[in-house]
Amino acid sequence: MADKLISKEDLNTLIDNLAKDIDVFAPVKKGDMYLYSKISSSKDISLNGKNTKKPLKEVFFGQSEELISFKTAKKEIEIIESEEDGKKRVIIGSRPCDAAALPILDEVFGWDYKDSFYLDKRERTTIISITCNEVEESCFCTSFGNISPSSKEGSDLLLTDIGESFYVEVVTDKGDAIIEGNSNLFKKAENISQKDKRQKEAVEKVKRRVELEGLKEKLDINFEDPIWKEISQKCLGCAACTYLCPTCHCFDIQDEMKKSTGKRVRNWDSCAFGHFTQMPGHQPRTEQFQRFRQRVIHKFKYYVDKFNKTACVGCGRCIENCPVNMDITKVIEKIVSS
Amino acid sequence: MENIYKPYIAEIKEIVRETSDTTTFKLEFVDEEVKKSFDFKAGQFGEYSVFGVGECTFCIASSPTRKGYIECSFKKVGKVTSVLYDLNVGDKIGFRGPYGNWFPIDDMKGKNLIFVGGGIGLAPLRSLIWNCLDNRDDFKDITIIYGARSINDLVYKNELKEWKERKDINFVVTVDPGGEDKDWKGKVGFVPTVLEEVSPSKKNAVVITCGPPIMIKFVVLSLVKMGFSDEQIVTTLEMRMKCGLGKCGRCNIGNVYVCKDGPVFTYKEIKQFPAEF
Ligand SMILES: Cc1cc2nc3c(=O)[nH]c(=O)nc-3n(C[C@H](O)[C@H](O)[C@H](O)COP(=O)(O)OP(=O)(O)OC[C@H]3O[C@@H](n4cnc5c(N)ncnc54)[C@H](O)[C@@H]3O)c2cc1C
Ligand code: SF4
Ligand code: SF4
Ligand code: FES
Repeated sequence: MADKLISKEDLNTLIDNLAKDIDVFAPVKKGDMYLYSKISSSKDISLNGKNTKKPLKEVFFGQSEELISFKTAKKEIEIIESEEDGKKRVIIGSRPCDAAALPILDEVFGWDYKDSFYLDKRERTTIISITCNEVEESCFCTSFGNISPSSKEGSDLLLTDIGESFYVEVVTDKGDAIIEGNSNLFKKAENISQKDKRQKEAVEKVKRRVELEGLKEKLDINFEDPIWKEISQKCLGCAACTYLCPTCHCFDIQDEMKKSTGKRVRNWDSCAFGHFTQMPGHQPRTEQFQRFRQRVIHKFKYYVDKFNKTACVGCGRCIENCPVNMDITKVIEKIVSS
Repeated sequence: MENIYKPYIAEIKEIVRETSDTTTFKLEFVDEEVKKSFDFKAGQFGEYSVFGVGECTFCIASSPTRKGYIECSFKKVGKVTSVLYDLNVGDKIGFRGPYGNWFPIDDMKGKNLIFVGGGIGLAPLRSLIWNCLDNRDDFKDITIIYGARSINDLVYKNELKEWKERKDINFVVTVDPGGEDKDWKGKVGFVPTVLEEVSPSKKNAVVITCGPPIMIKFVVLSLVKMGFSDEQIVTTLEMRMKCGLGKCGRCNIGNVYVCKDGPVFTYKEIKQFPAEF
């Protein structure tokens, strides 16, 4: 599994070739935002744009996804299983933080009961990430030991732009298979120093940093600390932070019916909403600070206790998109120093 | 890979109107294989669904010793339960399960059992009670204390009569003050008060309690006052659920998913949770 080079032109050829047979997803500019979308041609792709509005999780865990469909006739019910199309898929140009969020999601969808919808898509998807050319002011991925603008966590191949070509690092067998299947487009690796330089530059571009040392220990004991009310005061409970988070995975299950056919779908949901835990005559989280606290402690403590992983990759989306400028890095700082 | 969200289809075989807003369904799985092989343990729950309306969470209220069918009892409170409530015998619904952990029945063998239930909270206890009564010799004394707001709110009225008549159970039924009528032969008083009156011994005993959160809270306070240890108190928790599978995140409290690690917990375990109840 040796490193390779691929010229920019050949990468386009690769994308066009792949798109003929399999589903290719890549960041695409739509209006003023970038979104991971299915593409049919290399012309549609933007590898140098801003971070995508929505995270990569959407390709594996759809915002709205059918679980079963059914037909009802008089007293009879026929369940029609929602078949996955089974097609192989490739993602090209995912950011390393988004890719790093996948092993985190794998835990929840794969522990105990196996969620076939997510796991099946994971299984048949190859992830080709790219060292970030631009980073956002809100990015703080390097605060996490294993994540950076050129980290390989969760990716199968990692591309680094070195001018005329991309330097290709092979991370998994799945990534290698892409090279094997298109070997005429890949050349022997050279210019490793240029790759190292570009990666180092990318890492240095990430200016924002948050000290996570001591956070978990604080969260272990500060559930009833008045600080939660203070730091969450401006939160509106709009849930933008959780919808757009690459590791948030809460969902709702709802039925949709048209005449005698219907479907059961799951939709992204959020712990930021009051109805999330509303029960008949009983509501454990009546106030917004309790919901905000749930989000933070879940990411930085409960998930760590259960799966030994922090459920944040420092992508900055929650900072960028919060209507009242809630900043998770400042929240962490305040907790650590409290 | 199997679709974990696909329900079995079950047919409503019998309907018992328990109270003005609570109903019990007897359900049989349509698929003969499932009907034969379906197994569960007392304390487990399922996701029941009306196709086109949605799913909701109820415990399995029948005993695992009674094969070939399951029962559920539910209160009409919202979207799905309102539609379920109006269904008829012969109608078909969906069922996913059994999910969650169960009452530690093996550890209860050879012990004195004290059941304390309130309102529709008797449903999960009923599964365990019949499970124990069907293996009566495995257990020592059985005390059942059950209460509801009023006579009309008592569920499983026929079974309450049967328990009253049985010589091998100490059965006490109560209604909240004001909930009685002139013919009422049971007690009048809140469940925790009646529990203290009955004052069962803590020796070699396990208490299994379920009811409205506020009742559970005061029952536990009474038990602690009576000298019961935290490990001797077992309850089943309600946290809003959707998947029942440890995926959707809804029932997360502290480090546990109530749907996977629960819904049955000892008071000792509950004390470890963050103060969200
Ligand atoms: C493990 C477990 C076991 C259970 N066992 C039983 C059982 O055996 N029997 C039983 O009757 N119940 C049981 N429950 C409770 C049961 O799951 C709920 O009552 C049921 O799901 C309600 O479904 P629904 O669709 O009818 O109500 P929904 O329409 O979902 O509404 C439920 C309640 O929440 C309130 N609500 C909903 N949305 C909002 C909102 N946005 N804002 C404010 N309030 C809102 C409604 O007023 C209503 O009272 C159990 C729950 C759990 C977790
Ligand atoms: S985006 Fe901001 S306002 Fe909205 S729920 Fe998240 S923290 Fe609260
Ligand atoms: S919590 Fe915020 S910074 Fe962390 S992964 Fe989620 S959206 Fe990105
Ligand atoms: S109900 Fe979905 S995780 Fe427990």
